[in-house]
Formats: sequence, C-alpha cells, structure tokens
Amino acid sequence: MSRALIVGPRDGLESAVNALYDLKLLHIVDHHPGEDDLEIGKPLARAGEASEVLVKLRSVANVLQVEEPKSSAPLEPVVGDVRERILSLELNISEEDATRKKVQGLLQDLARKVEEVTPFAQLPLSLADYRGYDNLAVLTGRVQREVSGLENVTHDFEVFSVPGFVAVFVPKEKAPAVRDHLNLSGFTSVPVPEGEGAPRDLLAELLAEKERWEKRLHEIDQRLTTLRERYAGFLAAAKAHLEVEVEKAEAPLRFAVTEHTYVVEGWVPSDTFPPMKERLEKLPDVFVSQLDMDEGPNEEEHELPKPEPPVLLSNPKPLKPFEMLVNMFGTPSYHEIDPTLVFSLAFPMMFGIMVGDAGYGILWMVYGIWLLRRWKDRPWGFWKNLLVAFIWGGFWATVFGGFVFGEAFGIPFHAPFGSVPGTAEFFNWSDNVLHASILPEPILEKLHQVPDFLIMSISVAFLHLGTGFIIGVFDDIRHSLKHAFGKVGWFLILFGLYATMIVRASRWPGTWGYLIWNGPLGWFPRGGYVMDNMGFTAANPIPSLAVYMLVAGVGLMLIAEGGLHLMEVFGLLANIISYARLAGIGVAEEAVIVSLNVIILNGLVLSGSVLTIIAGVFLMALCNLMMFLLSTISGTIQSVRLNYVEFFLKFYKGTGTLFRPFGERTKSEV
Amino acid sequence: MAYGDVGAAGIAIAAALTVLGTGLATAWAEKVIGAASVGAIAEKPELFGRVLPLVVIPETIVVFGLVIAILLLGKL
Repeated sequence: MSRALIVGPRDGLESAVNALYDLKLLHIVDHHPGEDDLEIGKPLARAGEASEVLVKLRSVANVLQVEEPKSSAPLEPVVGDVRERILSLELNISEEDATRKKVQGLLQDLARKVEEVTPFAQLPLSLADYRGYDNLAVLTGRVQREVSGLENVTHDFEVFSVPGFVAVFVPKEKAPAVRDHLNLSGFTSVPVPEGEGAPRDLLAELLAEKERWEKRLHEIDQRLTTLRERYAGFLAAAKAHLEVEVEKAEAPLRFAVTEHTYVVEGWVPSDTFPPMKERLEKLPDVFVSQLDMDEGPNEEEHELPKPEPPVLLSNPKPLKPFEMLVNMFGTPSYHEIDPTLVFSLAFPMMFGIMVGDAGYGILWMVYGIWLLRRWKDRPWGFWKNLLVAFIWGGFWATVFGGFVFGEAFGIPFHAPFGSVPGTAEFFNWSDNVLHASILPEPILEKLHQVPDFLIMSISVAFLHLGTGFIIGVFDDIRHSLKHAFGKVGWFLILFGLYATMIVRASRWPGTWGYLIWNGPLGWFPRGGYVMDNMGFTAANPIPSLAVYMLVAGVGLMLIAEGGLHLMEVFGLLANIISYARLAGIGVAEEAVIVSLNVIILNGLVLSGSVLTIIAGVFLMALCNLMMFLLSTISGTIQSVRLNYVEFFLKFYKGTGTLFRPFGERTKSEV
Repeated sequence: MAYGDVGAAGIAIAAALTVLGTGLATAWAEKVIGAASVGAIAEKPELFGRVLPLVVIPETIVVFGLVIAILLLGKL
C-alpha cells in the first residue's frame, strides 16, 4: 500500500471526485478538522437535492414494496430526469397510499361493528327493545357455559339466549344478584349497539358496506401492483444511481480544503499508484504525490502513532470465502500474517472430523455444488461464503469418514469389531449392500476406540495450536524480538505438555498413543522421570526433554510476558483438552445415528416383507437427514469456536481495516 | 469387571453425575452470557465474531466433564 496525497484547485473538485470514483483505487482517509489548520470540504451543491430525492424514492419503494434485486444482474440504465419522474410517481402513489390507509381504517371499524351486532342478530328482538326502561335492567353479554338456575335468584326475569350469548331482563333492584349469578357461567358484558330496528337488518347493511369497501381496497391494491410491476426496474436503477450521486456529492466532507485548494489523502495498492497518478494529473492543476510511510521511527513524531494502512486480502479463489469467517473475528492488520490459509484448512478439517461420515460429506459436496451453480448470479454474501466452507467441510468429512472412520450414513463399511453376523449391529455396506469388500478398512472405529479418538483430538490440538504459535513468532519478530521469544516459550510449553500426554497414553500397545509415540514422535529421547502413582512407569517415564521444554518454555515466557502469565499455562492445558470436543461430538453423533439405525433395522428392514423394508429405508433416510442437519450445525459452531477461541487468541489480533476504495459499491446501506 | 457389580454401578453413576453437573454448569453460564451477547449483537451486529468466543467459553467445563466421564468409564 502507498499513501497518496492529491492536491488540486477547489473549482476542479467535482471532476476530481468523478475521476476518483471511476478509478475505484483510492481508500480515502477521512480528514478530521482541527488536526491541522485545514477545514473539511463542503458537499457539492447537488448533494441536498440528490438525498432529498433518494428519501422520496425510498418511501415510494416502501409503499410499492419493491424488493432489492437479488441477483447482481445489470440494472436498466437511468434515462431522463430522475427527479421529475420520482416526484410525479410519489404524488401518484402517496394519494393511493392515503386512500388505502383510510379504507383500511374504515374496514377495521366495520369489522368491529359486525362483531358487536352479530350475537344480537340471532335474538328475536329489535334494538329498541333493549332500551328505555325505568324499572328494568338489561344484561347482555357472552357466556362460556349455558346459564341455569336463574330462578333460584329471582322469579321475575325473562331470558333470551343462543349458544354463547344471553340477554336477561330483570327488575333493577335484582340486577346485582343476577349479575353475580351470571358470572358463575363466565359472563362478559357486551353493550347493546347503537341504532334502531332489527339487528338482523343492521347486520346485513354492515356486511354489504364492508363488501363494498373490500372491493375498493382490492382495486387500490391492484393499481399499486401494476405500478410496482411497471416501475420496479426503474426504482432499483434510480436508487443505485442516486446513491452513487450522494456518495460522490458528499465526498468533499472527507477532504481537507483551504480557500482555493483541496487536499485528499488515501491509500492505494502500490502497483496501481502510477496509473492513478497519470489519470488524475490529466486534470488541470492537480498534483499527486506519494508519501513515504515506511521510514524508521521518527524521534520527533514519536507520540503520533504511524497511520495504519488498510488491508486488501489476497487468497486463492477457492479459499476466498473463508476470508469472511476470518473477518467476522477481525480483519488482519497490515503487519500481521493473514491467517485465512491456515483457517481454510483447519476449519473444514475439524468439521470433517466431527461429522466424520462419508455419506454426509458426499451429500454436502453434491448439494453444495448444485446450490452454488444455482446461486451463480448472487453476490458473495454471508450464506454463499458459508456454502463454500460447507463444501470444503463435506470434502474433509468424506476423507475422514471414508478413510479413517470407515462409514457412510451411520452404517460401517465393514462389520464392527465383535458383532455377530445376522444381527442389526453387524449390518454393513460390504456384506449386506455391495457384497464386495472394496471399501477401505477403518483406522479408528468411533464407538470402540474412544480413547484413541481422544488422542487424535489432542494431536489435532497440538498441530493447530503449534501452527498458531509459529505464526505468532513470525508476526512478532518484525517489531519485538522479546514477544517473539515469548511465543517460542509457549510453543515449547505446548510441546512439553503434548509429549507428556502421549507418553502416558502410549502404555498400551496398539493404541493411537502407542503408535504416535513410536511413529511420528519416535525421535523423541526416551529416558526420564518415573512417577508410578501417576501412571508413568519405568517402561514409559516422563521424558526429560519434555520437562526441560516445559521449564525452558515457562522461563522464556516469564521473561517475555511477565509473572502473571504463569496462570495461562493451565489455560493452555485447558485449551488442549478443549479439543476433546472433536471426539466428544464425533462419538455422540455416531452413537445416536447407530442406535437409530439398529432400532429401525431390527424392527423393519431385517424382519419383513417388501413393505416394511420400504418403510424402514424411508425412516432411516429421515433419521439420517436429521443427523445430517444436526451434525452440520454442531460441526460448524464447534469448529468456529476452536478456531476463534483456542487458535486465534494465541496470536491473532485482527485490528486491521479492510481496503475499501472510493467508488466500490457494496450493498446499499439504508 | 474388576470392581464387581456394585463398584461398576458406582463408577457408571459417577460418570453420569460428572456429565450432569458439568452440563448444568455450562448451561447456566451460557444462559447468562448468551442473553447479554444477543443484546449486544442486536445493537451492533458486527460484534458477532467477538461475542461468540465469550458465549462458548463455558463449554470447556462440559468438555472436561466428558473427558473425566470417559476416563471413569475406562475403569469399568
């Protein structure tokens, strides 16, 4: 990145803004008034008008319920006077909208009246009959149960009732007692509607009126729909056009100005600086110069932090979607190594270990690639990026499910260890489905080798965290040797802890601990300290080298980072054990799907006719679909967590800002 | 079955209680943090990446419980 400084005469401001916008190269650094004696610029004259029209446009789009176009397909060109067209459209639509609101209000009113009159319409009385008595009280209302035993309260009463509604006529002095009695039946009073005559006629009248207004509303809605269809394209295009106008017109707010000149500062990718300079200096009296920002620490300016350039991440295209997940934690700063590459390997691999099923993996790859093709025109948003991450996850799930765990859809490739032929537990792809032994043998059976799975998880922790510390060393070595040594110390502590754990697990020949200790770690010096009560017998003592690593690591770390960080050694131990969730989730999901499969196989598939087999296969597909979704959710969340919490917090700060050149439009902001 | 039936039952119950206790502890802790985090995200959606680690930190408790339970079951 190069820091560019552009200076020009103030009356050429607009052409400079247009040129910068078209170039889409400069990440403008906002000028803050008061830093030096320069003021910020005033927006171009058309800013006010453009934003006003934009506000009108948004209200129109809101009334018409025009949605944002989903695809990145080109918008139709804006022709004619946008302002004129939008103002006339607004006039048209606001009238329609007002009428619609009025009609909606009226309809609500009518609906309430209809609800009031309906129960009265079922009683054989005219509305006048309910009013105008000197000595009689009229109790009308809804009841939950049928009213009975009213004669126990008084003998002077007359009741008209339909199911759920009563009208009771009693002498006024008896009214309170009768009301209490009615309350026992869940009485809620309903006032008698206004008006004269038979309520049935009134109801018919109201219904007719309601129908008339509904028809009217429908007409208005139709007119608005026609308008929407006709203007949706124009509105989307006009909105984009106006947003550009506003952004351009307000750009001077980010510039510094004097009475006759303007000054723009910003960042450009270094290799595009010369073409930008060439293009801008074609404008009259514009000067572009490159500021040198990489000069050593300047004694006089020491208190001013050096400006931090924005970053433009560049990763190979298939891994680019992972940038989104890294940015969600934080954008790497200019002086940090972009962790996207490691993340794009670690995230889907951990997903693959947790899902650990070739069937689900292939399903994700096929479905994901199909969906990606369907979404070809969509801009790269959250879901599209995540989809690519899932496709990678599916790839690793296929690799681990196929070559390590040896299973697809919860059914093993080969009969599990110790199962009896003919039972549901024995059911496997080679013997029962394919009748050929072409699939790979499992290296690790999830349900029978849980301790091995744990060792595998801890090994993943070692590799992952180790990579983190090594990246940290390279990050820190550029500005502080002390911190780099601290990271080396942490790496030594990690290695010491891991070696000790593996030694403890290597007691039993044939286990993964034994294989790793005598395989990849075969070079590690053996002799060491015996601690029988902790399980470190004479055959597998705690290696001296591991202890030296721990001591040296703690020493380095204490010197570089201070005594308080001693506690974090236990934190690191907790981090390592935290990776056991890889095994935990892998085993838990396996256990659920295997038991579901076994139940269905026993109940339906193995013991019956064609009909039960079809039902069983259908049910198994349903259960597998559920587990497919569940394992995707937990696989994603846990994998993100391991990367964010355990991995990133070891070395990654993520305090950078993304390079956003002036003129590059992201999605419109409301 | 080195411990006999009663001993084995004891180990199984111990393992179950470990997962139960750590599970409840995690759930309670995440409830408190989760509620606060959703509030924060509602105000500033870009905080998601910063908040997620906080929400899932208590999960370590239940992972510890799981490891202890597996080690206990290994003694059966």
